[in-house]
Order: sequence, then structure tokens, then C-alpha cells
Amino acid sequence: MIPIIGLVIGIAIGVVLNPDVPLWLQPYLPIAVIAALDAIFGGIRATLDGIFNDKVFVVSFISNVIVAAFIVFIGDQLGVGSQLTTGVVVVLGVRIFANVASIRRHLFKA
Amino acid sequence: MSISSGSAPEQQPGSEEPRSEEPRLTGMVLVEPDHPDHPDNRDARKGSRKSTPPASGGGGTDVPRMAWGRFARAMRPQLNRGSVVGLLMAILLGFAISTQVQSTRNQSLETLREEDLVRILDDLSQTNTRLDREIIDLERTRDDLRTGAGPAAAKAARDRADTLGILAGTLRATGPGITMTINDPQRTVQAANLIDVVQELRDAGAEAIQIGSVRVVASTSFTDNDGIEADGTRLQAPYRIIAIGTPATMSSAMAIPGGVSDTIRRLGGSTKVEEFESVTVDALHSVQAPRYAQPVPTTAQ
Repeated sequence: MIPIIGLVIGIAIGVVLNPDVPLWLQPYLPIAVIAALDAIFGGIRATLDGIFNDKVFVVSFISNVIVAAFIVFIGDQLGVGSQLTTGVVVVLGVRIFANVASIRRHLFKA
Repeated sequence: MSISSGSAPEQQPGSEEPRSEEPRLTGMVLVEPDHPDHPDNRDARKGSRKSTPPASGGGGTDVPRMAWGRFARAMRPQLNRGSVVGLLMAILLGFAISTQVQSTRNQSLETLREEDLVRILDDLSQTNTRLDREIIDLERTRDDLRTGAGPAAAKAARDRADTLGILAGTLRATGPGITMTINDPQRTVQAANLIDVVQELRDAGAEAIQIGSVRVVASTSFTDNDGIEADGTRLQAPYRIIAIGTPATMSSAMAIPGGVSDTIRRLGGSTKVEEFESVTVDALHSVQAPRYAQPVPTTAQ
């Protein structure tokens, strides 16, 4: 409940402030968002598994974001940034799907 | 903090299933998600078995109920470290999402190919050239308006509006002129006599005329109705007429032998004309927009 409220608050802040994404952050923000989504769904799944741990969640959230951004950064340096971005998005998307599938199985047993 | 723990957020210290990234990926890509061999399905079965010891045998009917219970517990607003952390994370995520969505909506050039970018650049420079030309044109127009024709045209328009206002009786007028007082003790002066007066004043060059409180304009009428009415307003003797024009011309026009003054005197009235350096015609005529007459459109130059 509280995280959902936080999500709404965060979206509202973003809409109201409408900040400009700094140029250096532009390639990494979308990847970081997807990585954070992955961590969120992982956290929900862990909650349903009964093994949720806030410390692990925070660490995984932050490290997910950092690692995803770092991979894209490395890719940019190597000249394969767009391909690597696609790869990261695919991997994270697959993981999100897997987590959602697990959540769904927990909640609906289907 | 190691990368492996970061990339597997759902992996908890107590969970003994080794979940590596690659099998999951290939599993997801190659195997249907609901296939029993899917790694996630295996995970889920293990997880449920682990969490619900009595219902062993892989996911009894109470597993969903337990999951819902956990879900409800998680949804319950409670204040502890975990929820605060979750709140902060969620705020961060929401902020990032909305920021990213808006910036994506604002610009999408990064994702375009080189030839598209070149085409867009061409379009932009063409537009730029066109707009530059437009700027030059508009600046020239602006300079013309500012320096030459502008104020003169505005002044001419104002003068014209003033002239028309005085002619139509919608503006008060002041200037040299005469006042004429017609005494009519026997009530013998008729509307026709006042019409003669007005006509004579106009012949003598009167530019604005007022009788009593009525502004005399092109459409003003005088009627005999047990007394004299001008434009429906009853006039009371003595009739006081103010006219703007050349004072000497008008006063001599009033004094022509056999003219209006003589006629009124013959009827038993008397007139008195005074010349002034400045008189004010302050009665106004209210103008109604014509119902039928329309201006003939002038051909555009």
C-alpha cells in the first residue's frame, strides 16, 4: 500500500516539476527505470514467497539500477551501446515476465 | 555487494535454489512460461512447498490463500523500516518514470537513423530560410508602420472619426458661433419656422446646431403637436438655438429682411442673436445602426 502511494507521489512530483533529464543521464534513465521495475516485481514475488527482506530489496534495487546503467555505459564506450541496451531491456523484460508469472501463480494458482 | 545478488532481487539469503540468470533467460525464451519444465514453474513449486509444509506435494489449495494473505499483509499500511524504504524507492521510481516518459515525449531524435536525421535537418534549414525571409518582411512592415505611415494614418483616422462624430451628432462640439433666442409669448411660432431657422443656419455654414436640448442632425424632424416637438422631444419657448460656424455670417443670415427673424416678428415673436468667440453644442444625438442601408463594398486596392 505504502509503496503504491509512494509511486503515485513520485509520478506526481515528476509531472509537476517536469525536470529536464541531464544529457549524460539520458541513455541510462530508461534502462534504470526498467531495472527498478524488475526489482519491484522481484520484491513483490519475494513478499508472496514470504521471504521478503527490506535490506535485500534495497540492495537489489540499487544494484539493479547501477548494474544496468553500467552495462549500457560500457556498451557506449565500446560502440555497441544500442545493441547492449536492447540486450539489457530483453533480459530485464524476460525477468519481469518471469516474476509476474510467479506472482500470478501465487495469487491465482494459474 | 555483488552483482549476482543485485541482478536477482527475489533471491533471498534463505532460499537455497541456485537461480542463475542464463537458464532462466533461455528457459523463458525457448520454453513456454506455463510449461512444467520452465525454471520459474519449478521455482514456484519449490517456493510453495517450502512455505507451506503441511500441504506438501506441490501447491495445495491453501497456497493461493496464503499468498493472498501475504499480499493483504503487504498491502496493509504499516509503519516500519521496510515500508519507509519501500516508500522512498517507490517515490524514486515514480519520479524516474514520469521524468523519462515526459522527456521521451519531448524528443525522439536519438532513435532515428542517419538518413532520417539528414532529411529532418534539410527540412529544418528550409523552414529556417523561409522564416528568415518572413522575419525580414515583417520587420520591414513594422519599420514602415513605426516611422512613416503609422502615426499619420492613425491621426487621419482620428480626425475622420471626429468629423463624422460632429456631423452625426455623437460628439460634443465647441467653437465660434451664435446663440439665438426666440421668444414666443403668443405661441404662434410653428415647426416650419424652426425648420426655416435651421435651414438658414445651414446655408450660412453652421456646422453643429442645437435647439433646446436637441441636437440637430440630418434626420432631425420638427412636428407641430400642440406645441413643437423636435425628434419627439417637446420644445419649450423661449427656444434657444446654439450654432457653431462663422458668427458674423450666421447672424447676418438671421437678420436678412424678409428672412426668419422678420417672419417670427410678424407672427408676434421676437428673436435675439448673440455672437460668441466660443459656444458649446453639448446635446448629443444617439445613433441607431441602419437596418437596411449597407455600405457599398469598396473595391480593394
